[in-house]
Amino acid sequence: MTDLASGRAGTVQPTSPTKWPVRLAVAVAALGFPFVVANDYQLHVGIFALFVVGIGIAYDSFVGATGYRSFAHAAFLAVSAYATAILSTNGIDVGLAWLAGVVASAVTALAIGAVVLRRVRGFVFSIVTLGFGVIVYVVANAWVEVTRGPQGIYQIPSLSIGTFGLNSLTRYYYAVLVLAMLVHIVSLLWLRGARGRRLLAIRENEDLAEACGLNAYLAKLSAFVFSAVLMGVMGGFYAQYYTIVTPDLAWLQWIMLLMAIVVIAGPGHRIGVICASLFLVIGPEILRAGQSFRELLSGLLMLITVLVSPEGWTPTIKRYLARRRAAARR
Amino acid sequence: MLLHADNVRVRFGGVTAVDGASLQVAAGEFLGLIGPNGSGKTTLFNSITGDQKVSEGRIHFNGQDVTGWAKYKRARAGLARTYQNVQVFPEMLVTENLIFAAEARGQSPSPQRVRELVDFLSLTHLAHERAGNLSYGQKKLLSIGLAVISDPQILLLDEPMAAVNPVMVDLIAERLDALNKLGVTIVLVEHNLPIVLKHCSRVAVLNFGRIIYNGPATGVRADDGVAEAYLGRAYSLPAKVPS
Ligand SMILES: Nc1ncnc2c1ncn2[C@@H]1O[C@H](COP(=O)(O)OP(=O)(O)OP(=O)(O)O)[C@@H](O)[C@H]1O
Ligand SMILES: [Mg+2]
Repeated sequence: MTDLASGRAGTVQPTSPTKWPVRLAVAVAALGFPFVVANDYQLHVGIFALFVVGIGIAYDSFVGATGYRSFAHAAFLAVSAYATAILSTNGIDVGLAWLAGVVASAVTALAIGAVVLRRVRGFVFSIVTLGFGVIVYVVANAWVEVTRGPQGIYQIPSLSIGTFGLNSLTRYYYAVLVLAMLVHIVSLLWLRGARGRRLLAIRENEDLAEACGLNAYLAKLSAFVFSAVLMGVMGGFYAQYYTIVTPDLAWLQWIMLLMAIVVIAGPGHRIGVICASLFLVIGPEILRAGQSFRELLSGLLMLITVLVSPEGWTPTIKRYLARRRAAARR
Repeated sequence: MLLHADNVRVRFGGVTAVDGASLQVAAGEFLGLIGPNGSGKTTLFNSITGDQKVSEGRIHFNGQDVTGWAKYKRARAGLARTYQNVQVFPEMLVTENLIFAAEARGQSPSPQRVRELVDFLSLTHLAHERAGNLSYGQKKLLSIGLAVISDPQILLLDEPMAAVNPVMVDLIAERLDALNKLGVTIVLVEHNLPIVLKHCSRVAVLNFGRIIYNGPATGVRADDGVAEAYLGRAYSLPAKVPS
């Protein structure tokens, strides 16, 4: 049986029975969080943390699975948030606008990926995608008639179905909880079995994968677009929750946050990606520090990770726990 | 002809690694391809499989001109190979390696088939080990498995026995013979001459990117050009073939 929470794409790991109590505790904590918070700000931190979990997983669905370090994903987030914002502030139903945001993100990824993934790998891929991110940032700033430039688009409406609307923090909390879960599960299902193996093979040795007969280009492109779809889902949520989108969404702090999550966790380690996302949001909050502290913390942790545990912390911690369990049995 | 490399030339800047070499392989053959270090054997393989673009010449496979084809497409058409620097997917289990290799060509292998191949490669006790944990020789066997699981028409092997202990060499040789008997066409690049002469019916010799000998294995040792290419004029090849 494949362990959905921690199974690496393509690899089969047994589910240990001790995991269920842990899962139950996590579920209770996640569902009960709005009832124990002291104030709206803490609830907002919870919402933001789950949002980051969602984008972290979306990002890792490509980067962790293929090993390609993309710098374009913050731009996908921005494209989707902007599309949602522009359409919904121009009289189009928010639900449709959100959907359009997802499509816009996917189409953008398809266009970029179709060109870039055919030609370049490794470092060059990173640089080219970074270039694309910068272009989106510049366009968001300069195309004032559509994006309203640096001041951004505000008063974005939020989704309501019938009489039920996203009109309280608690509802936003549960909405983002559902979204993060959805992104997590859909991504795991998508990466299961043969597709997971294909992407793992690309990550391990793309030349050999091709020599075995794999059309690596198609496999990478579909993973790129898939992860952009997940990004797009989260981007539409962002627009509705913050009710404002600005060009900063495409700027470096977001891609650095995503990068930090994957590097610290270890690419492709789902449980680590979730923990790192929560940690990078909640850690600075506990220390009552602002965003610039989070950036400092991410940078520092990335540096330490690369020096001490270059594969990320998940495999290191897992090995440590396994050793302790083995020692305890003796 | 199953495979026809026609007047292939590959240049790397000033170096002409393959210099107008032609090679024909008939279905069912077990061909040996030998030559001194740097004579262009690997590069010729690379041009056949699409790992390397040719500067001149054509590659025909199964009646089709595959010269412009992407590597994965040639593999799907039935061209399989192993690499001189042994390559597997280290993070995957041995079985996963094989399953992937079959899936990559659009097949879904039965567990039975995977088990049989694992046994055939003498990796039974390591079936659920990470490939990265295998010994060098075991990796070589697994890399042959990656190439053969999808029933290729032709198998290009780049020094599958180099740096492998003698027991493993015999095992690999025996497995290759078995595959050949099953109908797989094999081209073997190998510096271990006795092995080549023992298993291959025909031998082609490359030197400075040119084919300088192409004929029965029995004639290789007697050929002056080959002896000179390998050892210089003053020497000759060892006369006896150890059995
Ligand atoms: N990518 C490359 N760039 C530049 N020169 C290369 C490249 N690949 C091979 N060469 C050169 O081409 C020549 C042939 O190399 P090749 O690897 O094909 O020889 P080989 O017959 O396989 O040798 P060996 O028996 O040592 O494996 C050598 O001179 C080598 O230096
Ligand atoms: Mg070679």
